[in-house]
This record gives sequence, C-alpha cells and structure tokens, in this order.
Amino acid sequence: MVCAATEAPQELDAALQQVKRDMLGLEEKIRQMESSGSQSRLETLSVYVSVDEDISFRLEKVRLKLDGKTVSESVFYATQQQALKQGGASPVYQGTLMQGKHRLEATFIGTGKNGKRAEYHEQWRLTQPPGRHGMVELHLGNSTFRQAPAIDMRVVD
Amino acid sequence: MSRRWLLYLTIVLVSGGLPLQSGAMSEQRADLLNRELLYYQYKGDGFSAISRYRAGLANGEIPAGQEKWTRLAAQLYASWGLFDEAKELYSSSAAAQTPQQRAINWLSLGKAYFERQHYAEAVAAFERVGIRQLPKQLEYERLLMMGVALYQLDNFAGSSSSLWSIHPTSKLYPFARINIGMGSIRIGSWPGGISGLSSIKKRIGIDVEADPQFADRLNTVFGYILLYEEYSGSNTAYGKVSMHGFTTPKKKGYRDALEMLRAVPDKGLYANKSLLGQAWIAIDTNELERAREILEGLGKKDPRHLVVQEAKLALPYVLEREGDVARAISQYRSAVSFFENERNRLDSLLQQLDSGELDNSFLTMRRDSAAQNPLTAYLPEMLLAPLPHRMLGDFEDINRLRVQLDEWKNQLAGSASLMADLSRQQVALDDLHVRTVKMLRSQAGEQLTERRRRINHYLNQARYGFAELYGRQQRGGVDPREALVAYHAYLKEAPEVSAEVRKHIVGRIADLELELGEEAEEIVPAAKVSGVAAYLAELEKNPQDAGNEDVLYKLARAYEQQGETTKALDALQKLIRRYPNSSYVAEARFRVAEGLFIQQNYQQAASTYDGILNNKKDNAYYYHALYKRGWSLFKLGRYQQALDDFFAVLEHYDSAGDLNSRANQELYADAQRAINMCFVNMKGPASVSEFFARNQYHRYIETVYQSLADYYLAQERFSDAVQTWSTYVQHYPNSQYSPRYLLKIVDTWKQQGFEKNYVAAQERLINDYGLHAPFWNNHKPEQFSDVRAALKQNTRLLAEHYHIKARESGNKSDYVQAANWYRKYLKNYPDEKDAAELNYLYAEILEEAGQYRNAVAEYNAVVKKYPQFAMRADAGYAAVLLTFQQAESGPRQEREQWRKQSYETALNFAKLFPGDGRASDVLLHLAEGSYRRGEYPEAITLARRVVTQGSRQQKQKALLIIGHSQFETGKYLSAEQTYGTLLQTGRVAKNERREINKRMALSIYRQGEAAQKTGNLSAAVKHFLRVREEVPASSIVATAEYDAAAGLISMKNWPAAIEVLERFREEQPGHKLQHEVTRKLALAYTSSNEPIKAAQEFERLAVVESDAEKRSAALWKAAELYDSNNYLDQAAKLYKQYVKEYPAPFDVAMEARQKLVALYSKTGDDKRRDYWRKQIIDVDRKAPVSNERSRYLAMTAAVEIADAKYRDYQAVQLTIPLKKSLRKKKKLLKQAIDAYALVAGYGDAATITRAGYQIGEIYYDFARALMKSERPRGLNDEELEQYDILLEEQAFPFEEKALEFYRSNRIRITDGLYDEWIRKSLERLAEIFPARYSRPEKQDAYIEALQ
Repeated sequence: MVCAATEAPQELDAALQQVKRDMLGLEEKIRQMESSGSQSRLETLSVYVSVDEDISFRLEKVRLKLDGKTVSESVFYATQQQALKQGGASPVYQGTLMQGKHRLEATFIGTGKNGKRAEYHEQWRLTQPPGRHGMVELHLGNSTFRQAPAIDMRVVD
Repeated sequence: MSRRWLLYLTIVLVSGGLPLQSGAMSEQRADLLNRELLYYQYKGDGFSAISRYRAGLANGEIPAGQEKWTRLAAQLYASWGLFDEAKELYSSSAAAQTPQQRAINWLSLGKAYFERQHYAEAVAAFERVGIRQLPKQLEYERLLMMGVALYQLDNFAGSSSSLWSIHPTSKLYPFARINIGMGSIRIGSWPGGISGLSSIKKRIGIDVEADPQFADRLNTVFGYILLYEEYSGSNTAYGKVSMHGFTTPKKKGYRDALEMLRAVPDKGLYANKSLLGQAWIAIDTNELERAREILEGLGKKDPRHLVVQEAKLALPYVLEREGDVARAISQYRSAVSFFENERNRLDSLLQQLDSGELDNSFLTMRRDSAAQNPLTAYLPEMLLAPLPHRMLGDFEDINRLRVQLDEWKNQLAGSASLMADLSRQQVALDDLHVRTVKMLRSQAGEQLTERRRRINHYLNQARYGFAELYGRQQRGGVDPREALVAYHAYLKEAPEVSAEVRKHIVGRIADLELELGEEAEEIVPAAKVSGVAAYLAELEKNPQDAGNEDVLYKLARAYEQQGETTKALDALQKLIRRYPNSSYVAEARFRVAEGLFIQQNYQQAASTYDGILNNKKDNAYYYHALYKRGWSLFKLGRYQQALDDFFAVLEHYDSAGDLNSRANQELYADAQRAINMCFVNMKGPASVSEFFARNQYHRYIETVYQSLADYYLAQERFSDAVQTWSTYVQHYPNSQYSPRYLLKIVDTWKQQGFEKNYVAAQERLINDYGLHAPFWNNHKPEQFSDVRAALKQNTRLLAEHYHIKARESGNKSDYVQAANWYRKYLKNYPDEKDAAELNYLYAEILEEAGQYRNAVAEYNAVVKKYPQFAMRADAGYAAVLLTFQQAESGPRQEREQWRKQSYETALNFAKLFPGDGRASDVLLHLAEGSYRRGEYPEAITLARRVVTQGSRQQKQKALLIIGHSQFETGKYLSAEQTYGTLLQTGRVAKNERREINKRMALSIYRQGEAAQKTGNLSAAVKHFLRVREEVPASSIVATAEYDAAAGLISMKNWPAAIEVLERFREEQPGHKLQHEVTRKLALAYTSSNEPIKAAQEFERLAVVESDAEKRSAALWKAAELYDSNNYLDQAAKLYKQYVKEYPAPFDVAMEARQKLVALYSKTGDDKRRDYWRKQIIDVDRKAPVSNERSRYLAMTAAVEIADAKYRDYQAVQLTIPLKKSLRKKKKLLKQAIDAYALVAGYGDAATITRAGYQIGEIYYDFARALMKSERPRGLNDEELEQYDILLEEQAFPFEEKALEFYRSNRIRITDGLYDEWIRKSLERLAEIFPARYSRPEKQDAYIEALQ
C-alpha cells in the first residue's frame, strides 16, 4: 500500500534549507553582476503603499500614473492585504524619474466599509531634485468623518 | 500662480538633495525599508525579504552590525526556516546589547524552532534564556511553548514543571492547565488530569483571544474525559469503547460530563462531538429514546465526519436495546454497506495517493469542500495537522523558488557561467520537490490508513451486531446465510478478536452450520481439533497405566486452558487420590485449593490451604498458601484472621529478605493490598488505629496508613484518604511523617479541586507546622527541607488563592487575607528569589483593595528593594499609574495631594528607567497635566525630556505640548519653530496638521502683534506678511495681511501698503474687511499722489459703504478728486449722481450744483452751466427752508444770469433801419431788467443796490444808445436838427428812468448803506448832473453820528 519508505522530515528540512541558501547565493551573484554592469546614475523614484492597522477600506488595487502615464498597477489579495494591515509597506513602483517637476496620480480601488466597490483618486505635484533616489509613501487611514479613506502622501527624507 | 494650483500640495522630493550612494540613511528611509521587509515576510515571501535585506546590506542602505537590523535579519531567516543563519545572528553580539535582549533573542529563536516543530532545538533555545531576564508576559509565553514542546517530546514531567510555573493570573494560564491536564492523562494519571482540567473549568468563561472556541473545545474534551473515565474505568482507548459489558454507571461522573457537553453550542466545530458524547451517556444511563433522537440527528450530517460515522454504528445498537429489532437489523445492514463503501473509497484514495495522481492537488485540496470532490473528502482535514501543514508551506516555498529560477533563466539567457549554476540549482529544486511530494504522500497515507483502520473497526462492529441479531426475529429477521457471512467476515477482518468472543462466534457458527447443513460447507472452514480429546483418548486407551499420573496432570492443564475449571479440578483430585506420592501432589493440592478459590468455594479452599500449612518444612507452597488462606478468609469476611495471615506473610519476607524474585515481590505487594482491603472493609482508619493499639507489627504503621490512603486515592475516595492521614497525624503529631501527611492532604484537595478543603488544609499546615511551631523544638529543619519548602510555597499559594478569590468575589475579607498572607511571606522569606514578585503582587492586592497609599508604598518598595527584579519597572510604572488615577479620579479633597505625589513618583520613574518606553509616556502624561493646568513652563520642561528620549510618536506628542505651551505663554517665535519642526518631520494626521497650521499661523501673527505693541512697526509688518508665506491656507491670513497693510500705512510706506492691499483684494474676495481695504487703498493712493486711483477707490466706497453718509462723502470725495485733476467728465457725472442720490441735505446738494456750474463754466458749456444756475435758483426758491449759503448761491446765479443778459443787451447797437434794431434792443432791455428784478428780489442789500444800479445803467444805456444811434442818410442840417430833437425827446424818459434808479440807490445811503453800486450810481449822477451830484457825500458826518 502507501507508506513506501520515506525519509525523516528533519532530513528534508535540512535539504530545503540548503536549497534556500543556494538560492540566496545565486541571488547575490546575479545582483553583483547586474550592479557592476550598468550602474544607473539617474534619479529614481520608489513609491510604497501602506495602510492603517484598523482600516475599514479593503484595498484591492493601486494604479499609479506619472505625468499622466500609467506606470504601475498593483493588485492586493487577502495575504497581501493582511501583510499591509500588519504594518508592511508594499513597494508599488520603482523607476527612473528625471529631475524637475512631475505629477503623481494614484487611484485606489477596493471595497468600502459598506461592502460596496469604491475608487478614490488623488494627485500630487512632485519636484525631483537632481541626483536623488526619491522615496514616497502613500498611506491610507480611516477618515474620521467620511466613508472615503484618508489618503496621505509622505516624501521620505 | 493660478488658484487651482494653490489647492495642490507642491512637494519637493527633498530640500537638500541626498547623494546617490549615501552611507548614512535617514531614519524615515530606514523605517520604510524595514516595513518593506516586513511586508514580504508577512505575505510569506521569505526569499524576497531576505534578498532585499541582503541587497540593502550590500549597497549600504542598511548599516552593518546594527542591533535593530541584525535582529530583523535573524527574524527573517528564522521565519524562513534558515535556522543556522538565524541562530548565528541572534547570538551575535550585534543583536543584543543587554542581557534582557539576549534573552528575548533566544526566545525568538526558540519560537521559530517551535513553529516549525523542531521541538528539541526549541527547548534548547528556550533553556538558554536566563532566569528572570524576560518581562512577565514573555516569560509565560516561553514557559508555555517550552511546556508544549516538551510534551511533544514525551517529556511530561518537564512539560508539567514548565507549565506549572505560569502564574494563575496570566492569560496563558488556561492553556497551561489544559496541557498539564492532558499530559497527566497521557501518562495515565486520570485524577491528576481531571483535577487539572477542572481547575480551569470555572475560568472557562474567560476570553481566550488565540482560540475563540476555547471554551467549546475545553468543554468537549473535558466532557469526554469524564465520560470515558466513567464508562470504562481508566481504559480510554477510543476503539475499546465496546458495546458490551457496561459497568454500572456512577451517576456523578456522567452528570458532570453532561454538564460540560451540553454547554457546547449546537453550531460550531465541537457540536457533533459533544452530541455524540451525550448520546453515549444516554445509552449508558438507559435513556434510550434521548440517545436515539441524538443519533438520528447526527446521522443526517456529513457522512464523512468521524462522529457521524460512529453515530451510524451506535443507532442500531440503541434500537436493538429498545426492542425494535426490525429497525435495528435494517440500520445494521445499511451501516455495513455504508462502511464497506467508505472503506473501498479510502482504499481507492490510498491507491491514488500511492500512484502520485494527487501530487498536484495537495495545495488546492485544502480549500476543496467534500461536495466539490468527494474522493478527496478525507484529505483536507488531515492536511491541517501540524506536520503536513508545515510541509505544504515548504511546498509553496519550493514552488516560489522554482518560479524565481525560471525568471532568472529568462533574464540571463546570455550568461553562460551563471546558466550552469542555475541548471544545477534547478536539479536540486526539482529533487526537493519530488522528495517533499513523497513526504506529503506518506503523511497523507498515514492519516488515511488510520482512518481506514477506524472505519474497518466500525464495519466489523456493525457486522457483529448484525449477525448477533440472527434468530431474534422470526419474520424479516436476519438470514442465516447473511449471519454466517458476517461472522466469517468479522473473524477475518476484525483487527482484534478476544478469545472469549472468538469462542462465542465459533459456537454461533457451529449452530448456523447445523441449521444450514451442507450449504454451510461452501463458506465454513475446517473445524479445529482440541488437545483435551487427545488426552482423554489416551486415558481411555490405558486406564491403569502408571504414566497416567503425567497424562492426568496434562489433562488438567488442558482443561484449565480451555476454561473448564471443574473438569480440571476433577482431574487433579483424581491425581491426588490415585498417586498420593507423586511429585505432582503438593502442586496438585495447591492447584485444587486454587481451583476452589477460583470457583469461589472459599470455605473449602481455606481448609485445603490449612492442609498445606500443617507442614512448614520444605514446603515451597507454605507462604503462598498462607497468603491465599488469608485471601479465602478475607472473602469469607473474617478480616481480623485474614490480617494475621497477611501480616505474617509480610514479616516473613521482610525478615528473610526474600524479595528478589518478581513473583515474591508481587505477592508481597498483594499482601499489602489485601491488608488494605481488610481495613477498607472494616472501618478504615479507625480500624487501623485499633489494630495497632492491640497488635505489634509497629514497623508497618506508616506503610499501612499510607497504603490505605493510597487505596482510597485510587478509588477516588478522597475524604477517606484524607481521614486516614488525619487519623495518623492525630495519633502521632510529633512524628516526622505528620507534617508530610498534612502536605499530602493539601495536595489531594488541591488535585481534586476541593478548594475550600484545600485552603483549610494549607492553613492547618502552616498554623500547626509553621516556622515557629513547637514541632520544630524536636526536629531539625535541615531534615525537613521538603516541608520547609512546602510551607513557603503554600504561604505563597494561599496569598495567591485569596488574591484570585478576592478578585472574583470582591469581598473585603478575602483582600485582607491575601494581604496578610503576602505580608507573612515577605516577613518570613524576605530574601527569597520570588520575594520581589510577591511584593509586587502584595502591592497589587493593596491596590485592588483600594488601599492606594499602601499600594503605592509597596510598589515603591519593590522598586527600591529589588534592583535585579525583572518587573521592577512594571512596579514603578504601576505606582505611577495609581497616583495618576487617584490624582484624576480619587476623592476630591485628596486629589491635590495625590497629584503632588504622582509628580514625584513619575519623575522618579522617569529618572530610574530612562530607557523604558513608558518613561516617556509618564513624562508625557505629566506634561499634559501641567499643560492642562496652565503650568506651561513645567509642561515644556517635561516634554523636552520626552523629545530627547521618546519614540517617534511620543516625540511628536511632546512637541505638540511644547508648541502649545510656548504658544500659550506667548513665546510665539519658539512655538512657531516647534510647530515647524513638527510639520516637517512628523507624520502628522490631516486634522492635527490643520490645528497645528492654525496655531502656527497664530504664532506668527502674535509675533507681529507683540512687535506692534513695542512700537516696532516694521518688524510687526514682516511677521504679519510671513503668515501668508508660511501658512497660506490659514484662516487668519486675511487678518494678518490687513494688519500688515495697516502697519505699512502707519509707516507711510504707501507702495508696499498698496501692494498688500491690492493682493488682499484679489485673494480674499468677499472678506468682510474688503471695504476697509478699499478705504485704506483710497487713503494710500491719495497719500502717494495717485489721485485718480484714489478717486476710483472713493467711487467704489460710494457704492459699498453701508452708511449713507459715508457713501455720499466718498462720492463727493471721488468727484472732487476727478474735478481737481481735470477728469471733468467723471467729475460732472459724479456730481450729478450726487445731486440725484443725495438731494438732502439740501445745502451739500446745492454745493454740488454750484460745482457743476463752475465745472461747465470751465468747459465753456454755457447751456449746461446756465441750466445748473437755474436749478440752483429754482431749488433755492422752492426749498421750504432755505439758508444763507443757498440763497447766496441762488442769488449769485441770478446775478450772473442777469449780468449775462445785460451784456447781451448792451452789445446791441442801434443801427439803420432803426426800427428793427430798436425792437431787438428793447426786447433785450426787458429781459435784462426782469433778470435784475429777480436779483433784487433776494432782498439782500448788496443785490438790491447792484440791481438798482444795473437797471439804471440799462435805461441810461438805452438813452445814450438812442442819442448815438445811426442817423438816417441824406438829411439836411435842419432835418438833422429836427431828428436830433426828436431823438432827445425819445431818449429823455429813459434817462429819467435811469436817474430814478440811480437816485433810489443814492437814497439808500440814508439807510446806512454804502457799497460799490451806490458809489457807481453816485458817479453816474455826477456825470449826468455835475452841479447837483458832483460833491463828496456826507459820509463822515454820518459815520461820526453812528459812533
């Protein structure tokens, strides 16, 4: 029947650990190769999304536009939503952004407190100084008076 | 900038600009990166988390060797199962600066091991945690995990010792107790287990966050334990719950079990299980109808559920007992076919599993419902077990890594060197994948096999029950063939068949075969041949053979084996009779006695044993016989005699030291047991004391008492056990055993959960044998370390008992008791390790009892006395909290005192524990209090301390307090700076930001006000202007701007003022100060010599001013400005508007008309000028009340009109044809005279004289004009003379008229008048009549007369 001789769970765990280590080693190798090749000196922008622990709006999708052009669309399933609620910050965009003035637009799509689908849009002006890896955090919290979440944008120094 | 853009936030990514490869990272960046890593970890992507961390480390984003990051990395590695790395990091010096942190690191590592079920490693890690290094909550968590891990490693003693250390007040206590209980049960200590579980029974209501159905689970588990305990003694293996041989139920156990099971709600995870338990109890207590109802209900539920399956088996059994045999048969029949089906289903599922068909479904199967996939219905449940659950997690990890590998392959298609690495890795991953699948398969296989075993068991139970009903029903009953098949299937497939059951079935089969005859042959196997028959045959063959001694002996044995005792005895007795000298005889005699004993023929047995006891020498059976005679006497109820035998047996073995063989040991032990039973059957401990009063055997006193007590314990006759010890203690209070027996009493009551008795026993122990009891005069304490330890422990336990009780009951007496016991403990054991903890609890109970001052004192004592105590800071904090509470909500008259104390306590706390996160909370609280009371400098000082040591949020709150305090104390510059810092660095919520902005704007504004007060106008203006620059959205921008403008005006800085005012006009439309702004603008423009702009402002004011007077004044001013700057059209327009809109007051309107007259005079628009002159005259004339000025203006206008007429008239020369020109002049004469008559009508002296003179002039002019007129041509001298005379005649009346008017003017001199016109009239008179009038007037005389 079943139960052909199998190894001990500990052995398997050890093998898995080794494979994980090797993967990390490979990752490092690849990373080094990439960074030695074409180190970009251009200005960049990273955008993160985070939410309040007790947020009632269930965030399902974030669409980002830079200067009118859609640059990213991130989907959040239950696991990711949970990770956000636990305090994680999800990177939703990483790319170059030349110095100067830009417009950043974000659309937050999800389910509201009342169970209805809702979409909220917000936009900001950004000035990218020269030689800068800009980091921006878009934060969703509960709004005291409104159904819509309070959307905050924070430039990280 | 357009208004629209004002609404957007313009955000500069960073003001300074950070270099691309910066070594040091800002706190905010670090925080965000930290949360990015956590995000990966939380969503289960360990690979990304660690990769990102390593990349950050490599590119300098993450500083190497920093404690916070090192710990985070360790956590990431640990949760991804890379324990070596995690362990290295956790134990590195970089990960821990303090012993406490080291302890927390070991705890974290242990937890990671624990979660992946590496229990041995987990325990090792937990053991590395130093004593008293963890905060209380974490320490209990550690103890709980360690307890569970040790439990998993089958180290129940270790587990229980670990779990027992969790304090009863901890939230984890119920979990600990349930594990202790289960551990006790696993090692077979049912009383211990039950008492453990019942101790949490009363706490079941508590909310256990980690497990919402904790109460249900506990009720179910506990209910079942009681049920099994009741049902089948301590034999609780699930499969052995058989349907035969019910014990008489001891109702109490069932009652308790039912109470627990019924508490489980009908819906939820434990509903079915609980119902089944209730059904079993109903069956066992003969409430069959109730049982049937429950079972029928369960039968309708998910048939794959284990409980439902068991119910299917139980239902026909109940029906059978109810006497409904027909239904029982049909239910059995359907149960058999159901279980057969399920068994087949499981077999084919196992086959599928084996063949690998299910390999790809493991991950999805977890979410499948049975309805979706009946075939896999048995699997999802098992996939939730810990090991498979973990394997599935690994499986997900492996899949994730395989995807990553594929990505790399696509990305790096060109790089040959890496491709080799990647391929190697692929092989390794694939291999791991296969191995994991295999493991999952094997795990699943084990679970399914177990389930198959269970179903197989049910199947055979059903077959058996079914076949047993054969013959019970005539019609529609069980067919003999079916029964035969069922019995055979049972014998073949039932996992364990006892000899007894086998014998019964063989008998039944034999009956069936008899009934079926040859038909049975097709199914029945060959019959067995028994040994007995062979021996009997031999005896029959040679009845007198000497060797029959041997055959008889063997025959007896064979009978015995078959359970045919009587026949065996017959054979032995035959042996004794026939061969009295046989070497078998001694044994045979003994065996006969034994046989009689077994047949419960004790009387005969006793006398048979007597026979053996006649001869002691070389008698191998002597002591066994003695012992068995004891038993026989015992069975006959002759306990005193039995006791003599048993004690003799004990003495024999003790003095002979013959206890080496196992058999002797057992016999000895059994004799002890028998002694026990004797006493039990007599009067228990009372009989013991009587016995030893009469007999020797004193060496056994303690053993007997103890055995008796043990017996009672085993029987759960706890009060009897306690009575036994008690009796001993009563008789031998100074015995070294007495305190120990008391200890046992304590333990017993404790384990049984008889709380009242338990507490009484504890108190008795401490009162009778406490540190100062007389007992210790005769005993050396060092020999009683156990007692001394118990005294200590029980003092502590009593304190805790009353503590908990007080909390539950709220009775004052309980609080007093608890406090007393704590105090006693602290007094007796001040240097104990746990003195600190007890002192802490003492403080707590004082607090709970409302003795707040004492509580604070004790909390402070904890802080002061125990510098090494892990909860020292907690104590300090508790004191602080308490003083805070009292200061806020204590009795009103005490609050001030409390407040002072709270201040000291809190400051002290902050000083002692600067690193404690709560220190900042405390300081913040103080600061807030100071702020609320208006003690702003104090608030600032306190909050400043938080700024230097607090967390980001605390810092933010502190800054807010500082800012507000500075604001309140008028330190507006500082306030502004503070608010600025707050807005720049903090993550300030929108609404708070609004408030801060408001305050910040106010701060700037107030700086302006202050500067204004000191007369520094220019500084004031600067501040006012800054409000708009710094906080453009603030509501006081308008006020500030206005004040700035006012200041600029005061400084006569007109251009600047104008700029601000104009901006105000644009940016603050609709603002209530707009009018004032217009006024100010008017002033500013006027003053800066821009009259036209000023005029425009006045014009505006003329519309918007609320006050009509102001409106009219502004209109006037505007008109005037236009007028004086030659904007005559506008001026005219406004004057006209003025006249129209403000006819009253009359005189001003009149002036306006006059202005219009002047204006049109200037432009030469005579027509309009005269129109307005006439208007003046008309209005003046019509006015109900005229005044001087008006009359003057009207008069002047009349004069001017008249003068004009006069000039027109004068201009006309009399020419030929005279008639025509004469007519024209005459007409004008009339008009002029009329006009002057009008002037004269004003009755003013000057106008009358003027008019008189002018009319004179008109007539005089006419006369002269006639005389000077053109003479007709062609007249001769005479004719001419005639003509001249005629002319003279014609002119004369005019001259006369003229003279009349001149004269009338002259006459006015007599009225005291003398003016230009009189003078001119006199001149005319002198001219015309030189003699008469050419002389000086008598003016002087007149004047003199006047004087």
